[in-house]
Amino acid sequence: MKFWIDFKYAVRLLLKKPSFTALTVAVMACGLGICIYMFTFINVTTFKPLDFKNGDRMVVIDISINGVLYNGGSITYANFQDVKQQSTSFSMFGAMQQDIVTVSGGDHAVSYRGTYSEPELFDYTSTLPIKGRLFNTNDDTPGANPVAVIGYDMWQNYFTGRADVIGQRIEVNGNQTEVIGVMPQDYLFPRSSQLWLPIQFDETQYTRSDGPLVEIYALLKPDVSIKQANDEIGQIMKRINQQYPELNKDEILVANTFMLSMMGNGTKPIMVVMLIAVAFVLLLACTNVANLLYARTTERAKETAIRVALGAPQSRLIMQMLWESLIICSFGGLFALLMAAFALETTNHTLASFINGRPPFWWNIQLDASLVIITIVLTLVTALITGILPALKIIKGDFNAILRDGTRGAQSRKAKKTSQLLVIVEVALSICLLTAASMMTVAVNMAKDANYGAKTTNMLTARINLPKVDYDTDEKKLAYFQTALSEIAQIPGVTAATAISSTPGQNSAYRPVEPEGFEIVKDAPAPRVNSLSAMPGALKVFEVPLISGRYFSQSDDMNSEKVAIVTESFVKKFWPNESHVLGKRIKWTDEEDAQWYRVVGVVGHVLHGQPFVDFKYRPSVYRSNLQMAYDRLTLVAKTTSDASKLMTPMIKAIDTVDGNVAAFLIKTIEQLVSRNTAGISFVIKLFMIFGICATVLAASGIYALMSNAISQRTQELGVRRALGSTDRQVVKMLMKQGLWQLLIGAVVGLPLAFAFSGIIINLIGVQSMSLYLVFAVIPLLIATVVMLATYIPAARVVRLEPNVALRCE
Amino acid sequence: MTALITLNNIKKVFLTDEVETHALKDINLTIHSGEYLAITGPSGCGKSTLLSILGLLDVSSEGQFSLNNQDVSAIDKDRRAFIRNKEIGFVFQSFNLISDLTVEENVELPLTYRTDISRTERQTMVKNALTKVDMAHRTKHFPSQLSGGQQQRVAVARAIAGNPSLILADEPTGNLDSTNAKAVMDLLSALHLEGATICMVTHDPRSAQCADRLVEIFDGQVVGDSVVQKDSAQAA
Repeated sequence: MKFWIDFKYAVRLLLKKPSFTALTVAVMACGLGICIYMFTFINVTTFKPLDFKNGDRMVVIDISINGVLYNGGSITYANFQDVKQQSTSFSMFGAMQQDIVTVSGGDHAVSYRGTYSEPELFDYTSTLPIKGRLFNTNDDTPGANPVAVIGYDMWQNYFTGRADVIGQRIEVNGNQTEVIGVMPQDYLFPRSSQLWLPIQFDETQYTRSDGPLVEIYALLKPDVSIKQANDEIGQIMKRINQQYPELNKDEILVANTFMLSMMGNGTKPIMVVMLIAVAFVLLLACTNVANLLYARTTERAKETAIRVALGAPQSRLIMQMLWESLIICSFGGLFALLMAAFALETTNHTLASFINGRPPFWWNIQLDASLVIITIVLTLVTALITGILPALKIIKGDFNAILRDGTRGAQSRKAKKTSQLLVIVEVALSICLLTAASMMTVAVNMAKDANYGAKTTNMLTARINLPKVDYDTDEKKLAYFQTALSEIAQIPGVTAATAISSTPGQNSAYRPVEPEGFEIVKDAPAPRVNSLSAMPGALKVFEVPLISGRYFSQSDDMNSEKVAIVTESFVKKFWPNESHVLGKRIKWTDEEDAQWYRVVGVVGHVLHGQPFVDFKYRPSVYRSNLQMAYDRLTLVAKTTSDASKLMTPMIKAIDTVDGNVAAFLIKTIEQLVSRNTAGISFVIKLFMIFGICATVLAASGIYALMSNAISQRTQELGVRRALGSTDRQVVKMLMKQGLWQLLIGAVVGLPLAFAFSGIIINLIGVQSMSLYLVFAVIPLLIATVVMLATYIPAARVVRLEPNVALRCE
Repeated sequence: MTALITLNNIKKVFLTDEVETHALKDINLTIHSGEYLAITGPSGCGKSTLLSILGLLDVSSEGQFSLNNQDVSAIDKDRRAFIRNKEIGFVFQSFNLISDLTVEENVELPLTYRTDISRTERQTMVKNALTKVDMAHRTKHFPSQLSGGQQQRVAVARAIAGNPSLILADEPTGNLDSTNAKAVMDLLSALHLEGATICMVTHDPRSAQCADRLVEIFDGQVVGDSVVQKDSAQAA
């Protein structure tokens, strides 16, 4: 019951000073709220194992080409089989392919994300269907009756939840397919699938070079780490690369968690930086509260001395102080939890806008037991951090002297040093956070304003994947797209219609080429380019400037010589000293019976992909779709006004061409382009929130610290003035001391800020003087805060008459 | 009478930067149970330092200190706190009541640091102590709602609540007017008559007259130790 007495007393003291309590609770709520939110966000999206049995051992194998990581179906089936046979790190190793598939057979065609897999995929996730059965070993035999397992949502939407769904037949990409099972609600493995189809590879039909590309899922053996597995895969790939140098050059396979693979290149360092930033904000909040409590111990020194005289054990004295910090942090934690839960709910909706289609199933961030546990742990930790300094002060205080002489509110040399150290910590933390956040904001805004080298307004796009069964010849594919373009062109308001494999801003295939006359050095990375297919007129529609030669024409067809258009960046990279590049030739080295394509035009550089360093400077080569006949193109309708208004007529137009072909990803080109930076923009917004919180916390904290430190020196300053010091000299002395603290804080904070912002800026690849201006502006801002925080309390102290200051308790 | 406190060759040296200050030099003193002792001397002579050592608020630099036949010269902080709580009651010049606790809670405070007293016992002890100092009617008041004299009576109640072996009073009347000072001294005398051992540091000759024994300190040394001669009126 003794703790109850101390607890009641702590509550009483906190209630007695409601403004102090409200301030400290608000500061802790702010710090803890951000920390809980970010920890949960990063944990769920990046680190938390998948919610399956053995989820912590489930990995996906990505491919790294020239140091850039690619996820999703870029590994050759032959390499998959070799690694599967030779590796010993995995207890399961399977192939799958994810794709957008068109389901028809009803009133209309619908696109779903589908996964072609081996039967073991469902064993991998240890999940059973809620209806029907899963694949058996016969289902993936080439020529077997086509079957499909469908997702719960598809069952509810496409089949309106009908009970007799098992045995129903649908057309999947034109193939008659029987529904054999329904998976549980929320089962969307491997990412957001609603349809699972057996992978049917007839290995006798493929050579090593023309086999299908697959994704690999694998289960690490219990005692094998990802690093150990990667070391082994690396050795295996080294042997394969030596054995087939022309096919595997520069390719490395990398085991990764599903979460990190999804997040893509450079995610981990960004997340780590964010976690450090969050820890800094929390540390800032803790510093503020610790300082306020520390100041209270000075005020309460006499009371503590009385307790000591009455025989209070040290443990009780420490607990007395810790109760206050525990109560403050508990209320802070409670408010923080509510704020974090609200923010996470909002984030769930925001996340959906970062990627095309449905987000991966593990991006489901919500308030759960683990979040509450995290809050409790953080609350206890912060209570300890904030209470420890005051508690230490209690243990080490000379209370006999206080009882004998009184405190007169004066600071000891040690307390003064602690207070100065706290100011330095606050300055360093706030400079670091604010500078990093501001630099990244400037960098991302520059990236968002990137020049894509093409028109990126007033166009509506729609992706088309032609079903292979119905469109099995080049003529059929071409006929479809030509008819579709002709239908779209007739929509009122459409000024032009075209089709291209990837619009500017969208990722394109990045493939190895051999530019004629360009010396390919053995063992050096093979030259790669963005490889695109465009209908004649596409580059003109996108207003890509023609530098020399010509655009594609209708006569560049199957019967004419193969032609290509290259970007200016291509010429600079591969033919830098050539004055006449028209007529030179290129071939794609990963194509069987690769043919030479003659360059007929040079256009300005076009950015395909995100405006970040990995994609920004990649050269591109366009081939005429009349000579390539791709079955996957993006249809584009150009207009002079708001392109989103074309959505309904465009869907209708596409539907009239073939009701069994569904358009998907129907977006304006602005939406596609803005999606490129949505993820990083979100990260920067979070950083800005940290920055703003850090500013408020730092400004209030620095002010409180300085104000407290100066007010505790009132008597000392009174003595100085009694001895003849002018008010100006007193203020000057205090300002000088503040300046020193500022300088030391800046010396610590600026290099940290540079290191933090460097990680993201390297990823974005923006270099500009305005970035480095931030390094001047933010320290100036903090300097202003420190100087004001020193001047205001100093001016207040010198307004007191010296005799009043001398008597100050 | 049995010796409650025995000080043998007690020295206290304060080190401030590189300056040594000898606050107490070879103090030898015995205080018996039931004695009422007054320590006097000029400012800076070492009275308060001696009281701090007697109260286990400070430790001597040299010498031996026995309390209840137990050597307490070199015991750890927690043990000192335990003995202080159980054996010693303090009355300070500036009352030193905790402003955020009520009268009742202030008196109860030292008892809450003990593990051998139940809540009911605590309440009884608090009530008895407050009754003794005639403050039982003000239990729910806060110190700021009391006069100086009343505050010092509460401080005395706090000092005696745990039935300590020794009451240490440091200038108990220093902050009081003459009427209240007399009331407090009467209270201490009454406690002494009931058997309490009291050791008081004072400047005030009238207060010193209330004690039975007078110890004079000068420059950190005991320069006088005598029985107080009381006039007949006072003795009565």
